Amino acid sequence: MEVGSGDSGYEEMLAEMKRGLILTSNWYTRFKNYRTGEFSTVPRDGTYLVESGEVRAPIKGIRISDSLERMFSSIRLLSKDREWVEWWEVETPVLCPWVLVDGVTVTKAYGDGAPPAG
Amino acid sequence: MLLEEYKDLADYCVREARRLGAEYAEARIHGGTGTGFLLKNGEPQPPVIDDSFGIAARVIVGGAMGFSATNLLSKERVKDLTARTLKLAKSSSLLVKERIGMDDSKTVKRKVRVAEKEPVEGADPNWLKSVLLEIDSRVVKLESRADGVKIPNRIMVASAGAEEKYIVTSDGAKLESRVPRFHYFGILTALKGGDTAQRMIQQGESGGLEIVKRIDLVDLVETEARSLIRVLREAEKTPTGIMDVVLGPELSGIAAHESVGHPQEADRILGREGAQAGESYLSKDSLGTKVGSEEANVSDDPTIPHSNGYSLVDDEGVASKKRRLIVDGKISEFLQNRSTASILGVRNNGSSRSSGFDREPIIRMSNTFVEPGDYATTEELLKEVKEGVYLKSFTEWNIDDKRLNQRYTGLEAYRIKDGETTGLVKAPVLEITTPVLWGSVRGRSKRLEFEAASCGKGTRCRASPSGLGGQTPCWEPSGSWAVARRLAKLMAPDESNKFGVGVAKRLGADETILITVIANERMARFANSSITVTKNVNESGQVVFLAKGGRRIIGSSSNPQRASLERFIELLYKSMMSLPKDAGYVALPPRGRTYKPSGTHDRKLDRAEGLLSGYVKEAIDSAEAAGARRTAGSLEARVTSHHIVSSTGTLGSDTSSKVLLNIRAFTDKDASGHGLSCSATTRGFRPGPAGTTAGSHSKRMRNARQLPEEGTFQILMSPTVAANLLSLVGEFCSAFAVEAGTSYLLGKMGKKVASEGLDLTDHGKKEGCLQARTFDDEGQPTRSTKLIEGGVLRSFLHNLSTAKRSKTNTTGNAGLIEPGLGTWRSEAGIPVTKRCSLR
Repeated sequence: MEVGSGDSGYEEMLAEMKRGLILTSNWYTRFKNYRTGEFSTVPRDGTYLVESGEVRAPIKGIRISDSLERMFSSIRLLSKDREWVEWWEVETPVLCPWVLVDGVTVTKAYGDGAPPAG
Repeated sequence: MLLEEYKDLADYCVREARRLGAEYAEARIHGGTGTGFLLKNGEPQPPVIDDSFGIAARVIVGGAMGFSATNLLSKERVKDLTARTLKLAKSSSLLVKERIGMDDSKTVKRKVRVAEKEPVEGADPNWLKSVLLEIDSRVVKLESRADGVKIPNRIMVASAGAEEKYIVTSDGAKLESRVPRFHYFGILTALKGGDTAQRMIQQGESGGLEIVKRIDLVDLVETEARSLIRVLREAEKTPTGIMDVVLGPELSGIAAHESVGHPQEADRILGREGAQAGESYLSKDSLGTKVGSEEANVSDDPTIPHSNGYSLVDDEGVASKKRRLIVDGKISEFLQNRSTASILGVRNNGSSRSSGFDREPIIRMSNTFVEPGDYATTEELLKEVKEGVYLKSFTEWNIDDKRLNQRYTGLEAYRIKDGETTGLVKAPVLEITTPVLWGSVRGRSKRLEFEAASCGKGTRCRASPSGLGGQTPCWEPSGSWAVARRLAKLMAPDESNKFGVGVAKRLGADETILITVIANERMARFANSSITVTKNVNESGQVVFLAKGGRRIIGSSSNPQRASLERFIELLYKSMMSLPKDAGYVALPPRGRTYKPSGTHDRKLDRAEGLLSGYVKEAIDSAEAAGARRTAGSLEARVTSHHIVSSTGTLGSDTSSKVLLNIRAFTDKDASGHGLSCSATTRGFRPGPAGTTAGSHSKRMRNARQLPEEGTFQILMSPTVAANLLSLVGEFCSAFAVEAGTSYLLGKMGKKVASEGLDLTDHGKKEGCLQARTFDDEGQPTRSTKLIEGGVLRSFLHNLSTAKRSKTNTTGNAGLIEPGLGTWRSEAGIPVTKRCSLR
């Protein structure tokens, strides 16, 4: 499968971000309802908070929650460069660019992750 | 005994491996046959009969492990396979930094045969169909009293079969087992006005066809449908905040599987699954650590009679036993195999299983559950809650790869006030860390129930009976095929296909398609920057399509031999003729096509063994140079050829190749980076840059912190992330998914479904594509299909049947039941299920 390329470079896409997150990998995408396309997925590996076009900090422990239609109806930019992707989480090979989207809901789990005392 | 004819091959394999110098050798004959039936919105689809059998060899030589598998069962092939397995292991020895060994577990000699009152052997497709039709009619009848709620979309699959194994090891194990299973999977989609709710149901046990009555399957699905209607009619806004929750068995089971079973798998803890299923928030020193309240008690038990994850001896020939994972809030034991027990110096508890002959055994759960407690009923538990939510069933769920951050979205869920349920609430989300969840357990009821599930793990993720029970396609061989397989000569693909078409013609079939798929896969897996196993899997499978008088049937077989194929087609034909006419049948075009052999594949990948270690070293060295302290991953080289012959004169073949690197780099537990290189040829393959990407992210992720607050964000997705989500958009373009009501794109043809900049195209055979086919499974030419153009939905993916129903042309994307992306879904699999397996 092929996703059409855009005309942006990576730096240009970064500069476009006011308050956002860079995601480099994810897993465990599951649907609440196939009929609505509502899903959540868990970012893993390189994940960074961006403010005013600047990478501020590496981030852990988040989840993306959205619907496919809303998310891909909010594309702001697509990159010129594309890469082939096929791995554990992508069974159908896709030639794909970087994609910048607006307005995605990000959540985190209740609790700090530390084992309880005692 | 059905395995009798194969035993000597496995015994020979182990003797030969030892003669050639293996320190440890293990051979496994594994497979079965079975029958599956699918009902879509009340319409029967063609039944599918599967037959898959093969041999796997695993050896350790010089502290390095080799694994090979093939379905070509002859002494000469097994001799070659054994020698190659040792060669593979030796070839990786320079990159083995952590020597692999087996512990001194007592191996067993045993026969395990699960009893069946009504044998699954030769399960009549008509009987499977009648079970599904009864369930379907009960569900439809509910609509008349449902106050406007409709359940127009109903997918149901019933399958019955048996899994058979013969395992022998060089240190004395001999296991012969036969586990029959029945499994049901369904998706119900209910609608009311613009609202929708969806329920996935999985049920299954080990045993015979009596399971259907034993679990009251028909009543059970009807009850679920009734609940779904109530959810859509009555559920109100869910309360939010920090409050008490009561988890029903379905929820406590999934939580036990995801956040106790998985993080306590010793191979994850030791980093061996680092680049795939992930690692663990626990370390090897966590035994005895408190991770929950006194009431947190969780176990995994493969010995429960009738359970779907039933196993008395594991696939390393060690007796399975119940494992107490958490006892009174403390980690009691991990799930172990012989290798991890050897490294950790603890007692092995027999948790090693494989999901098929072509997969190595790895640590798997069986039946994982919260131990029963003191409360007699759920109602008694509810009385303890002043204000909260009772989650009885769930839809969406997931968890991070260290098993700390999990989410379960409720479907049937009730508000609790002053100890009683007061009404249904809509889609409450429980999003919580593992220690807080298990640290908050206050009580457990005595009621213990099991659900079936499938769990994916390993490279080229494969589901295994596990978790809350589980299922795999599990098939039973006929004795006569077994005999024939060894005695007959192998045939070349075109010869085999033509022979099969001839057999079907002699029997009287109107239409026949034979497709032979030959796959040669080489793989090196690594963890902690050390190769853990080198593999070679050589498979030859056939897909058979028969039609007669408007009836259809599909078969999938791993028997490339003449007599076996003849038997298989005779069985298919007989089964087909017992069926009524199929309303969805569409005749093949009268004149077939000829496809010239096309080969864009890289011939270097035909013999990739010598390349693997070099590529792995380049990737690991690059990651470490960029800052990684350790790495994990897999390198795969695959060459696949398809050969087709049809009764209408279609003839063709094509071959494609690919080489894939998946590398994950770590600097500490929370600091990791990911890199991929995927190419159709060695020319475009870049293991070094992929390693550098992984290594540099692992360095930058040091001291990662929690997000200050939740909310809406701009998201910049790498190609890896965007490809995950957009490949799912592609799957939703399948006409089958649209007809089944399991696609959000239903009713949106010609409408805007994405931003103007988005173009999405499915390619059958574009130059450089990682999955190139010139023809689909109906012998129709593949092509490029614009699915979304400028954000507007332009096409769905069709085969001949869906195209006729939609009054359009096929897009050359058959799968014989379901059109699929890139035409790869040739096994007539049930696509919806792969979006919902546990991990």
